[in-house]
Amino acid sequence: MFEPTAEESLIRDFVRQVARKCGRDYWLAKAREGAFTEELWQELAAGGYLGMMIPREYGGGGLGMQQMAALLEEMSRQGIPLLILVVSNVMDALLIARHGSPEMKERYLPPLARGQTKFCFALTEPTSGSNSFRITTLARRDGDTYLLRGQKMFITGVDVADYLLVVARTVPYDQVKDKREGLSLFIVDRRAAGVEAQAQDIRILLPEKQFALFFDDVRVPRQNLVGEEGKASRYLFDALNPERISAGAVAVGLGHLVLEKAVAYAKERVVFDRPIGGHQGLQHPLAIAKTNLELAALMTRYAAWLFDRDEDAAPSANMAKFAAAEAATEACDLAVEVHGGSGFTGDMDIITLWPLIRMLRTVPVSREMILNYIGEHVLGLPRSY
Amino acid sequence: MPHIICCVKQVPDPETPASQFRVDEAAKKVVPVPGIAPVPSQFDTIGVEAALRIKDKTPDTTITILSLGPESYRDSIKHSLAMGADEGVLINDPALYEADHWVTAQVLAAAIGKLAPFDLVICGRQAVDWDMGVVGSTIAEILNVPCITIAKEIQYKDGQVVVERVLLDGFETAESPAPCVVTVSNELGEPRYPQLRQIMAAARKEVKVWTASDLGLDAAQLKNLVSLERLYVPEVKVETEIIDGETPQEKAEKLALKLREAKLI
Ligand SMILES: Cc1cc2nc3c(=O)[nH]c(=O)nc-3n(C[C@H](O)[C@H](O)[C@H](O)COP(=O)(O)OP(=O)(O)OC[C@H]3O[C@@H](n4cnc5c(N)ncnc54)[C@H](O)[C@@H]3O)c2cc1C
Ligand SMILES: Cc1cc2nc3c(=O)[nH]c(=O)nc-3n(C[C@H](O)[C@H](O)[C@H](O)COP(=O)(O)OP(=O)(O)OC[C@H]3O[C@@H](n4cnc5c(N)ncnc54)[C@H](O)[C@@H]3O)c2cc1C
Repeated sequence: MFEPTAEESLIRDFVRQVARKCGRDYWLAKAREGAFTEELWQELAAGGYLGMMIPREYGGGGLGMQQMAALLEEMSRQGIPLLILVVSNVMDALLIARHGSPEMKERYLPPLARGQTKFCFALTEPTSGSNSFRITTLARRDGDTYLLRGQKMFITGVDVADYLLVVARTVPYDQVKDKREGLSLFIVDRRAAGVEAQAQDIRILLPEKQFALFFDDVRVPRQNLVGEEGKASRYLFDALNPERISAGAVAVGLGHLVLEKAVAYAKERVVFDRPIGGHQGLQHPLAIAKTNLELAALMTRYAAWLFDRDEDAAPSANMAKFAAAEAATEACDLAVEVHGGSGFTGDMDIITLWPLIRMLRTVPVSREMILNYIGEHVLGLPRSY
Repeated sequence: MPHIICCVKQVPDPETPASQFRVDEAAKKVVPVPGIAPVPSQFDTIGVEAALRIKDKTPDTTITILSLGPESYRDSIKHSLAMGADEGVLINDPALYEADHWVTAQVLAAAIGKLAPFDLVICGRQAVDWDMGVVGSTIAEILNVPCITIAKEIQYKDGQVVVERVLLDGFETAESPAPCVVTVSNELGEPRYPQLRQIMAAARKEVKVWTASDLGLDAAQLKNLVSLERLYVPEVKVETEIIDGETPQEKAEKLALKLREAKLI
């Protein structure tokens, strides 16, 4: 498992080739004007990459998390990461493929694979981010439909999406014996009556925006329920572990991107009598950052490998996300340091990456919640919260 | 069913920042830059694209990718297979790692002979590492078939190859009966990306590996005609002179005079 497969190398080749056309400059221009990178999206679609994790019978490639992680890592390394790719074509695609009805798969997966539709994933609420069980968005049965009411926050890509995969309660939190019960998953048409979206002021340079979503008695047909009513907590980790592995891959790619800039600069820049990379005060931190990135990359690969073998990937997915986000944040801070004052300029394009890299420590799941998980479930220590 | 053979070389990524380019003068070799993977030579990928365009129109075309080089060249063959080519052959023989263009052309010609019958051999107009631009036409010479160089379009129909050639001031159309060798230029257009489906197929495809003896060639007889005397990065001296003047007109006039003095205009 240490050797990249032939598929992974070719996927990286593809990304590098696409980046010649829709590369970092293109991505930055789109992010600055607040527009989505639709041309890049269509390149991914044309090559068949959006359907990578969708089963072949629904027009996808039937590949796994290892290949997806290679795609995400290389896109990040080229400076063209897309969050909606993770949400739409990893998390939502997996949830529908694994738990949707045959009609649902037939209807939603082929257009998703072709790049004709996009999905959001709507879980976080103003009063429940880290504690997902406490969500209050409620879906009440009303004849052949559900009535959806509540509010979501920080939802990526609502403006470009066609559908929202919404996690809601079908039984309120205070009425269940076990907090894991009573959660359900719904496909909601983004344009359905009663859905309102408000862009949030998020200061991360990205071609995607985040939105607050309001559901005012939105009618959702019963057939849009994914899997069984009230059982979503059993399905969610089929999406949340891949999300963590994806975040790990994105962090590793971005970390390498900034570290490479730092190393190139450290070789050239002479402040005293030799290149600054010749001073141990910089060289050792660079060596440590490289080591930590490579370690995180290995753990990310391992987690993806376990996931693809249908083994328990949760511990390694959590560790990979933690290690990768820490390593990337460290690498970015160091890259700024190495560049001195220039590290703060837009030209160097390092400080521009800082908010995104730093975000990965907190999103999609914070480092504290990961450490809680490892402490409790891997080490068997008493629950600390 | 037409058979097209595309010769594909692997080269250091030409997008490598110039600041990282190093040569080992003692070993007379380019030092690979760690972390930057080599790539198929761009003109060769364009050649594969040209073959695929013929296959798009004539689907029963078989495209074989042919490479001479070490095991790592397999990546470039796989890249071409992922673009849509059908078969891959790697000639990997340590005795041939230092082959010059003459030996390279001999080995490739022998392999093409072994892959016969063929209708068309496509090469890049030159490899983007050494820019020699001779292997394609040397193969044609050895195989004793016509050669059309620097193509921007290749059409193949009923045993006839029609090529639009790039000239300094325009284009010309040349025709040849198959089999023949055509070398392609970037004017042909962007090569297609590897498709996910083809990537999956390419990953599983066997690449045949041959040595010099498989081709009936005695490696000892394959003697380079060219010897590399010295490999170095020339020092480029840049002198900057700022032309001063009160008005833009005055600056322009002074600049023009300077350029005339230097016999540049
Ligand atoms: C750019 C961006 C994109 C996003 N996209 C999406 C999306 O598409 N869909 C979606 O559903 N959500 C999305 N989110 C939301 C994201 O998943 C949440 O922000 C994240 O889960 C944290 O939740 P929170 O913001 O409510 O923080 P809180 O839960 O309020 O946590 C605040 C802090 O308290 C700490 N904390 C909480 N509990 C504990 C504890 N028990 N022990 C120790 N520390 C604790 C946390 O670690 C954190 O540092 C996005 C967020 C951002 C910034
Ligand atoms: C927002 C902002 C405002 C500023 N305002 C002013 C101003 O008003 N006036 C002004 O004059 N300047 C100003 N500066 C410039 C600032 O003082 C310099 O950026 C700073 O002194 C660092 O110098 P440098 O950028 O040339 O980095 P460099 O000197 O190139 O250093 C680059 C890196 O090399 C490291 N390094 C260098 N030598 C060694 C060594 N011997 N051993 C180990 N590591 C080494 C440095 O620590 C640094 O990490 C400003 C900069 C910014 C970003």
